[in-house]
This record gives sequence, structure tokens and C-alpha cells, in this order.
Amino acid sequence: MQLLIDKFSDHDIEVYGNKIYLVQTSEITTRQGFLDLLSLGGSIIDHLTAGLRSAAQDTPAVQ
Amino acid sequence: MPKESLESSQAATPEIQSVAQGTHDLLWGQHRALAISMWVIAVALMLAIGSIIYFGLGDHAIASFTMNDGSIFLIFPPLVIPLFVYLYFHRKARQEMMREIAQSLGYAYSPSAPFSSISGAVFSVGRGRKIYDVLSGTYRNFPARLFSYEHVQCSRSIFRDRAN
Repeated sequence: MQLLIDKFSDHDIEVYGNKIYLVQTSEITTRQGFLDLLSLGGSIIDHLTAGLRSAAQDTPAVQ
Repeated sequence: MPKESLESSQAATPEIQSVAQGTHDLLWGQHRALAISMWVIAVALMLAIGSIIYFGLGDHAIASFTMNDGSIFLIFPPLVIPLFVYLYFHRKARQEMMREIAQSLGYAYSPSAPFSSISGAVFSVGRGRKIYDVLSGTYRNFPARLFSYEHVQCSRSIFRDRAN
């Protein structure tokens, strides 16, 4: 988790309803900057889906 | 146009790596005459205004045309002409770069989108809120959008914030 926080330390993340916003407050003016931001967004989705999958496996089935 | 020549022309077109480089290529590569014309017009207007102030308004104007009272700055307004031209092509280069990125990712590009399509506390600050350069697509079957967000915060000084 700390790794995730360090990785996104230059960004704001807001969860609103079923949406996740990754906000970079500095203006991006290069192609690489946009691709990096997209990559970060992809990492968030990957971490969340992996976490949800893991949580679903750990949760005992309701009897 | 035959498919082969279309592909070769697309391959020959360099990708825009940054907005600054794209603006330079647009201005100096494709619209060089316009860029030079704007500077010539701006400089000519500056000289004309300076001449009118210096020669046309008499001794009093000559005496007041100094750096001390700031009247020298009257000759600078024509510089807004090349500035507006630069900002226009800066915006155009940014849109083209975003369009290229969207195309390479298989995303759809739109220059703008209704502000009502976003929600959240982070988008409730300031005035003149708008989103633009919108890339829409999916990532691992999840809908994803990348856009630029701009708003104006009013206080003692006015400044613009941008976020992507």
C-alpha cells in the first residue's frame, strides 16, 4: 500500500460514487506526460481490481 | 489517394512529442509566412505608435516619452497580435497531439464535453469551469476518460488553474 501511495504522491485521487478521479494539478504539455498519467490510471484500476478479487476470496460465503 | 501513398504519407508525418514542439512546427513549418507577417505588422505598429508619440505630439510628448513615467510602454500593445497567433497555434498543436494520442490508444477524441458529465468535490471549486481535450475509451473493460479541466479562482488576484 505504501508503494501505491508513494507512486501517486504527486497526484490527487478522489473516489466519487462509482468513479475514481486521478488528478494531476500541473499542466501536462508532453506526449510522455499524458502516457504516464494514463499508465498511473491503469495502475490504480489494476491495484483496485486485484484488491477486490483478493478480498472476495478471503470473505467467507454467507450461509 | 492510393492506400500505399496514404500510409507512407502518414508514416512520414512526425508525431507531436510536446505542445511546444508542435506549436513551433505549426508556426515555423506550415505557417511561416503568417508568423513572420504577424511580427512584421506588430513591429511596424510599434514603430508607428512610437513615431506618433515622439514626432507627432510636440515637445511636451517628446519630453514625456521617457522610461520614467512609463509612457514608453504605450508602444507595446501591438505585441498582442503575435501573442494571440501563438496562443491559437499552441491550442491547435495541443489538440492535434491529443488527437494523435487518442488514435494510438484506440480512444475517441473530443475537443470538449459537457461539464455535467463529471461530478465530485474536486470539480466544484472556482468559476468558469470547463473540460476539454477529452479522450474516451476503456481500460480492461472499465470505461475511462482523460481530460483537461480548467477553472478560475477569484481572490485578490485572478489566476487560472489547470488539471489533467
